[in-house]
Amino acid sequence: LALKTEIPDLIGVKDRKYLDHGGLGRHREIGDMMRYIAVNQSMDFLSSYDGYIPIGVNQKTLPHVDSVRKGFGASDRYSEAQLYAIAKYVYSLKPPQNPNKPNALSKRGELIFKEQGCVTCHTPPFFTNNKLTPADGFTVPEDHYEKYDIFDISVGTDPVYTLTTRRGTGYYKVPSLRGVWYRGPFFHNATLATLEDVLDKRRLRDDYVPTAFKGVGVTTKAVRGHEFGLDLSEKDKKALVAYLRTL
Amino acid sequence: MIRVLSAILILNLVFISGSVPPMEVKSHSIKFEIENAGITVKGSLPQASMEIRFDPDHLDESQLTATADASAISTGIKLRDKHLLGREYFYVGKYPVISLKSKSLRKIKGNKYTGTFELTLRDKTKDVEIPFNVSRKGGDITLSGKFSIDRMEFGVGEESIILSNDVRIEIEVVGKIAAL
Repeated sequence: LALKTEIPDLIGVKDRKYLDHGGLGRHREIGDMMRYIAVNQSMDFLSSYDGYIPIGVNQKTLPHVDSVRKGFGASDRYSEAQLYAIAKYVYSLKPPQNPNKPNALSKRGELIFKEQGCVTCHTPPFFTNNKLTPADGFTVPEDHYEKYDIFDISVGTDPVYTLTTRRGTGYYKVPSLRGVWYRGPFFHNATLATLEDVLDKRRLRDDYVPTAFKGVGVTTKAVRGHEFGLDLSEKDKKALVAYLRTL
Repeated sequence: MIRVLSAILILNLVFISGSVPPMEVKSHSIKFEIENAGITVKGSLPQASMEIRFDPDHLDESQLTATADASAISTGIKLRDKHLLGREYFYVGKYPVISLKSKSLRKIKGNKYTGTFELTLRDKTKDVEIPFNVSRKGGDITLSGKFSIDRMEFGVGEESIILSNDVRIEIEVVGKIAAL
């Protein structure tokens, strides 16, 4: 597959209002989480990527539901009690102990974080404002402003996932920065391996070699979008990364 | 009847805009500050036009007006500026200008004055009280005033745990005024 997504972190998901990178699932209360689990459990066997069906007969034809049940167990329906239990378990996940303690460098990074306006989207305490940003090429329908939490500006990241895939919505959710010290790769399409790479201006060049997932047959490509902090001095970037690693 | 109405209209125009001549504006600035996550964010509205008819001896015939191009807002971060133009904040597609117009001016003492101004921001028009100083240097006269507004009263943005509602605004205009 030419498209890959970063596997979202489940730790802290209880505090997020949207699920998936594109915010496909709303998350208002535990019932939404239970529905999301049920749909993902039961519907993934229907996946078809432009005619390519991963678990299809010869990857071309959807299998009979009985064969799916026998082969994968994927269409067995969890009971509500089971879904509730899974959701409660997911909510209970705790992050590992953060070895990055605040220090003078991270304190300066915190100031930079605020000065650069990062807090507008990555708002404490969850380090996300829990909003959806439209991708380039998507026009927000008028009624969405009332229905959803819209942060009405694109940060210019690659729109392919949210405009062309089955999980696409036209939006990307603002991800939480909590736990970035143990997480990665970064960006929804997993193109950047480290926080330093996110702040590296060279990523905007067409001859840039993405440090994480490149895409099949791709050797170089520009990783555009979310172009914040790229012009900071190296010293400030170090301070900012030091702060982010404390979250 | 039409002649009488026309005469009243002409008299009104003379009264409002004819008695105190407009000042030749040499420079102006509109700056604002707001606390965001404990940091003071500073911004400006550099594109504006001001008509200053100010005579300290004829305050009742004086009038101060300013019209700012909301789309020129600048806070030092381009994407933030772009976001401020959207419907959640200034919504410039629908409300391209911010205007301020004096309704009454009063002298406090010395060079200190105050005025009641009509501020129109987005679709809201509200009266604001703006104390201002008048200073003279050479042939120039400077009017500078500071005031605060609650952005929520004008529908700018939403309630936020990090962004203050209070916006401090400072306006300064430098010019020449023949009457002085």
